[in-house]
Amino acid sequence: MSVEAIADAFRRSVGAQVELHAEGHHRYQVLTPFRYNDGDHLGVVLKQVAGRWQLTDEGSTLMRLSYDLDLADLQKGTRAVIIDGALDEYGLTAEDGVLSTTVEGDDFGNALYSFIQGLQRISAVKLLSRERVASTFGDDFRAALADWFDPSQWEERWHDPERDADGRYAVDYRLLVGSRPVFLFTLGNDTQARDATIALHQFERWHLGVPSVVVFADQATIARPVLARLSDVCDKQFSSLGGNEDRIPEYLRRLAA
Amino acid sequence: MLTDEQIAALLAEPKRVVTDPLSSLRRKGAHLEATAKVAADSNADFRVVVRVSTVNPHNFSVILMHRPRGGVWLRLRRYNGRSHFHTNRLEGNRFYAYHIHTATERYAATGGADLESYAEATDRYADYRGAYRCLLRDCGFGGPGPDDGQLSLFPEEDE
Repeated sequence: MSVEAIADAFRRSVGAQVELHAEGHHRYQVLTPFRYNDGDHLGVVLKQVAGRWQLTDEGSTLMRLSYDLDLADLQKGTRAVIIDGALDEYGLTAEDGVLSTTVEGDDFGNALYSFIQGLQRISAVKLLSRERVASTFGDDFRAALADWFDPSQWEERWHDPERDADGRYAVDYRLLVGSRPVFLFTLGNDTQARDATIALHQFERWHLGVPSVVVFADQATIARPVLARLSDVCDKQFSSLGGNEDRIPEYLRRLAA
Repeated sequence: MLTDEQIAALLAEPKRVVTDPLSSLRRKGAHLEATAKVAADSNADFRVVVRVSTVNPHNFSVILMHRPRGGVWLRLRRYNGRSHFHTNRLEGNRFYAYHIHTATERYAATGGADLESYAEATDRYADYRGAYRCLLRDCGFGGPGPDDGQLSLFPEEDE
C-alpha cells in the first residue's frame, strides 16, 4: 500500500467518524471519536454567534472537572499554568466557565482539531488531583489502626531512643503485636517513600530485626525507581488502605504467631 | 477493586440525605453545583453531587459517590443529561440520550476505563430534578425526594 493510500485511508477513517447532528437553528452537536475514560464523548457544539461559526463546550469541560476538583484550585499553581497554556496554544477563550473558539473563514477542520486538543489538555489537569488522596490518608489510617488494635499497643512517630535521639530515622508507627514489635510506614508520596527507605537501611545496619510493613495511600503514584529501592528493604507492602482493611490487621496478627 | 456484589450492596444500603442538594445549588462559572452529605446506617462515606449547566438545561449530572476508608471518592451511579454522545467500550453501542452511568466490576478491570464507564440510555427523566428523584429511588434512599412542587414536562417512569 502506498504512503498516499495510507494517508487517504487515515483521512477517510478519521473523517467518517465526525458527524454533525442538528439541534435547532444554526446549532449542531459535533460527534467525534474522542472520548473520556468513562465513555462520554467530548461535548462539542458548533453554533452561529453574531453571524460567525463558533465551536464551544458550553461549560461541560469545567463542569466535569468539578466532579473531582474545586474549580477555585484551577486558578492557581500548576493547574492554572496548564490551562492558560492550553488556551493560548490552541486559540481557545474561556469566559464564565465556557471554552470556545471562533472558526476563521472556512477553516472548520483545523478549528475542530485545535479545539479538541485544547479540551483534552485542560481535562488532563484532573490527573493532578491525586494529592487530595494523601491529605486524608493519614487520618484514615490512624482511625483504622485504632479499630484494629488498642492504642496502648502502638506509638506514633517512633525513633530509637538510644541510637537516634534526634529522631532522624523515624517510623510512622511502632506497633506491638503480642510481644513482637512491627514498624508501620504510611506513605503518600515519593519523598515519604525515600525517607522510609533510608530509615530501613539504617535499621538494617543497627541489626534491629524488626519486621516492616508499608501501607501506601496509592502505590500507583510512587515512582518506579523509588518503589524498587523501598521494595529491597521492607518486608511487606499494601498498595492502599481501601480494600485491605481486613488483610492488613490479619497480616500483622500473623507476625505475632 | 469493587466487585459487582459489593457495588450492589453499596447501592442498596439504606441512606438519608442530610441536606437537600437541590435547595443549595450555587453558581460556579457556567454551572450550578451542590454537594449533599449522606448518612448511612453503616457509617460508610457517601455523598450526592449535583451539577447543572446554566447554558444548556439538558446538560446535568446527579451523582452518588462513595469513599472507601483511606481511599478516593468513587462514582457509583451518575444520572446524566442529554448533551453528549456516549459509547460503551466493551459492548460497542453508542447513543445520544439521557443516560445513567453505573459502576461495574468489568469496567473497573478494564485498563483506561473509569469504574462507572458503563451507561444505559433512559427515558425515566428529562431534567435534573427527575434525575435526582431517580437516584433517590434507585440507591437506597427509600422513596421520592423532596417535592419542589414543580411538575416535569415529561412523565416519569412511575407516573
